[in-house]
Amino acid sequence: MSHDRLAAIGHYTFTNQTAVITGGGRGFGFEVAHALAASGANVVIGEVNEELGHEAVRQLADEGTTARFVPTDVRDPRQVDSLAAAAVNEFGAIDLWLNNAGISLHGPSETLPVESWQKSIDIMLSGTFWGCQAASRSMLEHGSGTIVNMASVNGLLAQAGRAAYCAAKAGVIRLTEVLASEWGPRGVRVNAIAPAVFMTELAQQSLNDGSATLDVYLERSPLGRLGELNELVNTVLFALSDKAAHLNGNTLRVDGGWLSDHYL
Amino acid sequence: MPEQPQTLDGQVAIVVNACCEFSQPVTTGLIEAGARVALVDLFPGAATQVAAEIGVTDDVAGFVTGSTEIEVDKTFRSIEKRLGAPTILVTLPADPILVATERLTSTDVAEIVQTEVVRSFLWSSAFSSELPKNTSGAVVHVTGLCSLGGWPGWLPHTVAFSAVHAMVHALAVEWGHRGIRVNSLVPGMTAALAEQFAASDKLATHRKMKSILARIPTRELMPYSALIDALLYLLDPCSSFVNGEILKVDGGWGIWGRLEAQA
Repeated sequence: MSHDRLAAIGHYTFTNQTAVITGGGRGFGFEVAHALAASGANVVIGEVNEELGHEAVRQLADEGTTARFVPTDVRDPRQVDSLAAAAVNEFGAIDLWLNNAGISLHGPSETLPVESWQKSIDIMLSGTFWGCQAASRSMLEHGSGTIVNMASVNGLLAQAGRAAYCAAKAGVIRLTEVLASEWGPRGVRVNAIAPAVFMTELAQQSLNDGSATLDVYLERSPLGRLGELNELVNTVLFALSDKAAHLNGNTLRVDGGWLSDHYL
Repeated sequence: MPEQPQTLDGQVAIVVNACCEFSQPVTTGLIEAGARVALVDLFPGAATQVAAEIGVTDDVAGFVTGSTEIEVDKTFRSIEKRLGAPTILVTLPADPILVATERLTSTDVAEIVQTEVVRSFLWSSAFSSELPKNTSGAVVHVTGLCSLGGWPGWLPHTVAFSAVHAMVHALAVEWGHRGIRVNSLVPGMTAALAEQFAASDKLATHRKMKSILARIPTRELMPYSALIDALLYLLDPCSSFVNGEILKVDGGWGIWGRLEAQA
């Protein structure tokens, strides 16, 4: 993210707080890692692609911030536990956790391969649960912490050809609410984010594989445009910050009005 | 009130309903974020009194308005003349009037709908009509926790706030392409609201103050600062893709299924 885009993000500070981001090696996850590091946080990146993970740390180092990389496949709860353990071992506690790892495997439901369904659920729903569970061990012990789970407008509105993605994201939203009600009394807040279409790698994949077209996206958006990544990063930072201290169990929409539009 | 970054520097904000418990903290929060505020109320002197209590005379002015379209338009023009073109509109809820449903009259319901729904619509309409071309605007309608579901004795407010939320969705879709974002804030349980709950024994004998806290997953009442922070998030230019949001600042009240035994 350029310095201009960093300046466009709202004013949040995370000085000396430890933040873990899954899927933080590239795209949106990396942008959040960058913004958190620039805001004073100790950042630990979990990423399944080792090359991307190392590159992310190098880029942050070039900008004068530090981050740690832990190879992590969120489908494996032991690897997610290791990610959390690494953060605790180095920084003492986990304050912030962003479950961002995701995948885009779309297709007609009647022919959707078992592998596509399973991988989508394993990464986005189960992976989010393993991340929340791993984060909770540190956070509940200390009586404080904030978790943000990346959902989607697809978790609230159906889209044909996205059975696995929609089911996973809808599950993430309800999971967020259960954990918010369970852990709220113990000092841990859990919220979700529901973005509409931002030009991320996942969105580009959808355009490339023909499951979506840009014109359709633009026409569908009440603001007449796609979202810009700094707009999404801003909402994530707000949800993680103490300015959202009384928000719990919310699914914050960053959709330009997408979910409000039930017209033609 | 914690110091706020100057994200609204130079903007003119209208805050409707000075008699609300939130009017002073909301107005103060907007001023601290750099805005100049026109505080509006139906009752003569109400807005000027709150403005005087805030004490920053250059950045806040009180206005009295009426409840018709003509009166709202007239007040809007007075605000424009005195402070400049508003680019922010915040409407606040009126104090609730609790009446057992079996005793509700059509007049009771109509009055609350007029106060919450029609008023919010008239001010939104005036704001949209007068917003200068090629200028972005932001509208936030603050409603109430009873909008999330059934509260015995609160039927007209539940209905009215739900209607305001539907209006938020409609306006977000219609005005988005013009650069006007429309969102809503649902405040959580405050100390004042909790006292009303505890006092209204005839309506809900099983709701006492202790039970109220147990009802909130974070086990805390909502401080005004939480509402202000959420409001400033919605109004922040960095939130330029947030539109049609109904943002709950409720500690989790709205999502909890309440199947566990209360403390």
